[in-house]
Amino acid sequence: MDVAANPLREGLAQDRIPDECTVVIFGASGDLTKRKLLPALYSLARDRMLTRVAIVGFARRPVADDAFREQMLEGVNEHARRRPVHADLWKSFASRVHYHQGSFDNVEDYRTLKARLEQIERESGMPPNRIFYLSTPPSSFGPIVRALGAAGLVPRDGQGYARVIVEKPFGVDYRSAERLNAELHAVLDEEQIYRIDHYLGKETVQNMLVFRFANAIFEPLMNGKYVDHVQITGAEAIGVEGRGGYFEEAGILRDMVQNHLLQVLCMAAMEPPVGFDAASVRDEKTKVLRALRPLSAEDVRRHVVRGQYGAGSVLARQVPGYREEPGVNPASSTETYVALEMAIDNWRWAGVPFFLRSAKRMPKRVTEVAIHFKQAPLALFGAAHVVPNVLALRIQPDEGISLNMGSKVPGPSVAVTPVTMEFRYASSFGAEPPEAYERLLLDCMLGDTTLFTRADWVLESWRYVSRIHETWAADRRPDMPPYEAGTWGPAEADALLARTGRTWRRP
Amino acid sequence: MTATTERLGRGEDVGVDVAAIEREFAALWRSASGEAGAADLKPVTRACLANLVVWCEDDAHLAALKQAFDALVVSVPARVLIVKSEPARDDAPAFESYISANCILAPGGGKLVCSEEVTLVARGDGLRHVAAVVRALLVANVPTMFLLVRPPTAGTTAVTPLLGLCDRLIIDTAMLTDLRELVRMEALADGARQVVDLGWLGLAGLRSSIASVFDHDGPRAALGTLTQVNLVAPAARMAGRVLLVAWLAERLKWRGPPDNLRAGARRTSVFSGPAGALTVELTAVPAPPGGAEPETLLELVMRDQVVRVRRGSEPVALIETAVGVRSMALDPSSLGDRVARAMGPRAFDPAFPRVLARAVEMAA
Ligand SMILES: NC(=O)c1ccc[n+]([C@@H]2O[C@H](COP(=O)([O-])OP(=O)(O)OC[C@H]3O[C@@H](n4cnc5c(N)ncnc54)[C@H](OP(=O)(O)O)[C@@H]3O)[C@@H](O)[C@H]2O)c1
Repeated sequence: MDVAANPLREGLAQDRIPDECTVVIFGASGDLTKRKLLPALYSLARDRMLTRVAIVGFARRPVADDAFREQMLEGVNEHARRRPVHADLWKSFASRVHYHQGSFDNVEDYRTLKARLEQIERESGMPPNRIFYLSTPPSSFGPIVRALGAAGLVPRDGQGYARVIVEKPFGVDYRSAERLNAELHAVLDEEQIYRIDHYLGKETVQNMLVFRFANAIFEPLMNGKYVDHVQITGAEAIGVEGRGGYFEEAGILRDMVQNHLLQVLCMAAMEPPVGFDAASVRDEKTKVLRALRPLSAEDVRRHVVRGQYGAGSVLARQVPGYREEPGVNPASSTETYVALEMAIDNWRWAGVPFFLRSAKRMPKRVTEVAIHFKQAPLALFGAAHVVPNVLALRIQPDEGISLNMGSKVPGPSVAVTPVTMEFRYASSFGAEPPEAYERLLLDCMLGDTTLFTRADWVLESWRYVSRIHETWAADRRPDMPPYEAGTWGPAEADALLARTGRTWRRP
Repeated sequence: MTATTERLGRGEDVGVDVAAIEREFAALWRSASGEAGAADLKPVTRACLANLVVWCEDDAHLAALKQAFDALVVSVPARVLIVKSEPARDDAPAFESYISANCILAPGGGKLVCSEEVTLVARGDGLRHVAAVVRALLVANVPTMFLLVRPPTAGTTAVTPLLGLCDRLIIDTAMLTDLRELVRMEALADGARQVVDLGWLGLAGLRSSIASVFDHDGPRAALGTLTQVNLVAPAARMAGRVLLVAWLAERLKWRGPPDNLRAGARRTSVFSGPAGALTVELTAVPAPPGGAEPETLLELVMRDQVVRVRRGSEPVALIETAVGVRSMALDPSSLGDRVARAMGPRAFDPAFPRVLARAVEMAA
């Protein structure tokens, strides 16, 4: 099928309609499938972004097709962006939802899966375009891909396409990521691999590029000549929410910084790409990571602060300390807060420190990039009347852009006060943007890898982050300052900025 | 997004003095932000992404539009300038104006964003001044849209200068009651910089549903054997639905102008198509009094197969092909949502004027 050859599709251009395909979800009885994946696929179908899509859930427990559809309908009813569910549309959508019982490590189950896919495609006249979504524990990524290869399900150039979406986390350090890349590349071409980072599916993260490169007035200021420093914050109000066991192994540096916040950093700091295609955008992002000044063990001790939350009050609710959370070692040395001072050694950003912080149990949930500009060259109205200009790109919640500047207070004397110019996404475009998973699934169907993480990016990010972990592991007595839940982190993090004569912004 | 809108109004005539209108707006904003008292000061954000000039002739229509604008403020905050044309009256001035503001209350109750509305009532001679007043009231540096859902009843003299002020004309072929109106509308639209049709936007779902039938190579090849297209539609909707056939004519490059024949409620147009003569039959079905709206049926007759697309009063399309019946949900969006969409950058379809011209060929 070639949608582009259809003369009646011409001009219906606002819909990038992908070819018909089948999405196989490994880990289909899991939480992510019900909460995000099926609701996203349904909303896409509801918005007519899809022609026809068949879905095959794959997991261990025995479930009949109908029971699986019921479970998925529950998820869609509760979580889909497009609600209430349209009865007729659900009927025709659900008629192509199937369940295949199998174990990840049994190759025979993949052979029966293959036969099932062929049958579905034959009966519905669909082409053999297949997406395999690994919504599974990360330890299964390698084995599943190996088995897919052994069963002949992911040919590098078959009749249709075979693509694999890999959930996070991609490795736990440089070595494991390198190993996982090698395991995938043994079976798949890089073009077949879609490493997901749902942050990149967020409209406001994509808007950072539009904001920077579609406007001529900001970009000339985005460099060491005008920018004093940049602060990137990824704060969560929630704690570990019953995932204590997982978080004990991960820590905030792996959970938030290595993937999401480094992606945000790259979007904020990258050079303009030569085009808005996957290769150009991803090249520029990787270059940012390559330019990060490597951290020696001494640098880690000096420029990285970690902390762990104690009991406190968040959003008017008393909450326990990290070590009292279920599944957490009472003597845990896992960080729930991290702040880094980073340097990007390239022409544009030389001399501009990037301060990045991420934590659980902060006063509120907020992700933002704040660009702090240098002061005016002359304090014409007196030192007391200098207002720093800050351009803040808020990613969530309350997405938007604000610019702080000084303005004269009305009255006979000269007094300068900070005022804010605000642009809020929600008040300017009431339309609800698609969910991150919708955008990413659609892009995968269209074969567009721009918003997915490339192998070299993953390795570079781990190269940087693993050095921090290695130093922490070598330091036998971890310096783990506590902070009270519901505050902006330990005093040591304030000291990190104070040393340079700066303070954290209160987002 | 859940939000409620609140209207702040100044019911009395504020005169034609443009400076006075702006002063009244400023006062309105001050009273809006001070409303809650100093203890609970609510900042009001005036937001304006566009000017929307609206032409309207009767009260029921005006009420429906005002309701649509309540929804509009959520997605495209705009300064709305409603021009209401009325016949001259001895007991009323030639020109009156009223202002009001629409505010969205965020779910938590805080006032977030407001946009402005001016109603200009022009009678008889007053119509001559409309364009000048509108020109002075336009917010600078944002695009200007002109919503004119139907051609004006009393000629185009007052409307033409407004067209010249606007970047985009927004019409609604779904509101046109007969093909003659469609012809008049096309003549008007010809003078606009850009035309966006709410009816055409409303057909987008149906068009992609029809297009999807021909994504596969087999059915697409069959398009080359198309000899007859039948459209049966409620009489009151024919002017809007005929665009579907016009779209096929434009996309599939049927050669015209067609030979037209008319017999009662049935019109026949003969084009030159890929397989020789291609006959289009349009049949208008009157709605039974008080009954449900008759369904629309579009039939594409090819050599070895017939594709039928049906749409009843529900926003669902049923597509019957050789392989079976498929149902596709269509967007049951409100007038406000459609106007908001029509003001956006993606609503503009450069092919639409050609499609409209094709429809007029069949209506002639
Ligand atoms: N949940 C989230 O919000 C979220 C957010 C971001 C990323 N992720 C990532 O998404 C992935 C999935 O998360 P999740 O929360 O959905 O996981 P989950 O609830 O733990 O589900 C795991 C799934 O894998 C299946 N499974 C495990 N071992 C299997 C085996 N040997 N053979 C066959 N099936 C097996 C389970 O099937 P049975 O139950 O039938 O045994 C279940 O369907 C993870 O990589 C996670 O890191 C999740």
